[in-house]
Amino acid sequence: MQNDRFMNVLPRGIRAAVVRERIQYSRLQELRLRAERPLILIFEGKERIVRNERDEPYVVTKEEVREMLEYVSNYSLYAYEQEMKQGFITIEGGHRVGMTGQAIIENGKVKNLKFISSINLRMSHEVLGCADLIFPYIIYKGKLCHTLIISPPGCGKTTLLRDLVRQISDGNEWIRGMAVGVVDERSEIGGCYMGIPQNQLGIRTDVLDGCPKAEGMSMLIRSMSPEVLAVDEIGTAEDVHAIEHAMHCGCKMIATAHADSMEELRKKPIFDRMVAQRQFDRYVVLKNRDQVGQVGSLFDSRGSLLYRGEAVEACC
Amino acid sequence: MLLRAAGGILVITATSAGGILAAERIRNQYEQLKYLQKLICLLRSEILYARSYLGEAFGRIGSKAKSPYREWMYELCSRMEERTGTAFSGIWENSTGKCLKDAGLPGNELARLADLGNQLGIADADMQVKLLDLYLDELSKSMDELREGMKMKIRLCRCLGVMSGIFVMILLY
Repeated sequence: MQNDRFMNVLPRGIRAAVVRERIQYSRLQELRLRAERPLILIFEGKERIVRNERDEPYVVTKEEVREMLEYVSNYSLYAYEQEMKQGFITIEGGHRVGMTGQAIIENGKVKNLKFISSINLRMSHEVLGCADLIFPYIIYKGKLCHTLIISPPGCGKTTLLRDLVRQISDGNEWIRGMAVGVVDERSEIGGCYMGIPQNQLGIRTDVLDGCPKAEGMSMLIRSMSPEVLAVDEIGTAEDVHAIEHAMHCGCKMIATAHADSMEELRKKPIFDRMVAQRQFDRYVVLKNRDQVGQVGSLFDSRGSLLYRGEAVEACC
Repeated sequence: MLLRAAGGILVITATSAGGILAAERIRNQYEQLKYLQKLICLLRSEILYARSYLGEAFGRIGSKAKSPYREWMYELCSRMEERTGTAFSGIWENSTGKCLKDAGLPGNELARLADLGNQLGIADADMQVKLLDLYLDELSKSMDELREGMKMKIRLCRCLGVMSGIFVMILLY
């Protein structure tokens, strides 16, 4: 079962402690291990300190942190060098394992991490159908609009993007099935394991796993001629340039970005230019952490509000 | 008289066969080292070019390797999958001892191979490749040393086999 695959990366003692909690894994959000500190899990939005057999807080040992690191990296840290630079590794099932320790700096950039003391296992959850609400607004005259999903971390950008990709690929009442190319730089969208997506991404989806976004988009356009391209968490000038290139190649673009609101997004120069040039046709702003993938508001390319809680008249 | 001659021939044949077997053992040690060198080279390229993690690399190499190396690689894979809390160096050492003790590798090389596990799985891919290169260099030197003395040793074993048979025969008569 996909929901409990994360158990494979837990040290034996912690595995047993989590089992003793008798929780529904599909509702588990995070598991936080800190060396010499109590084990904490976030379940249904609430923090819970895990207890041991003697009903005392379960204290994580340094040895357990090391053990988990071995499991997460399949005993091969060198294979995750790039991911370690970013501070997290994506494991089977698309779950994200974030870590902190002492950064090793080379030429002013983080080369790696050592003395890892904290690990945060963030669960990936598929919410099938969470994109149903936005389809009427991102389809115009039967065609998909270039769409940017905006939200702060933890509000379900990736979850919404994943369901969008699945429905566009399979086709639904709003749109015919289209060939979708996904550049999954951090293996979060597809949760690929040995190249095979573990999450449902639809029957016409090609996933380029672990590839930098800008490079990956060009590769996909050349190799797979997708009708739609999907990328998560754009933010650099290279990403924006690659998106412009993809749009000029005739691909429809679905992307996500970190921001609280449209105003916040426009404070970033590269996005401000994109908004001003009306490169995206639709902006989907996610609400808050109450419910994953909950849409707060939806705007068109001119910044006109199309949806806020209740629908506003749709236009292009 | 005929019986004596037959007995003598049997003794010489037996000791000669012993000599040939001892010579084959020496030749086999070299062949095993050569094969091990090939496997470590495959592991090196899996790490360098495909950035495969160890379990993946062992699985792929094991599928093409001959026995007992195939069993060794599969044993490593399955022990890694079990996730019983044993560090990788422990898994490597145990699996190497268990699967390769009768492979025909020289004792000192088997010990050095078992020790290699301490250097696998580290965080830096470049360093990982360099450590494998270092091991391959040392392996290559051992093979050179073995090869240098091998011809003489093989000839010696064969000669000693025949000569000891003749010696025993002389003693008996």
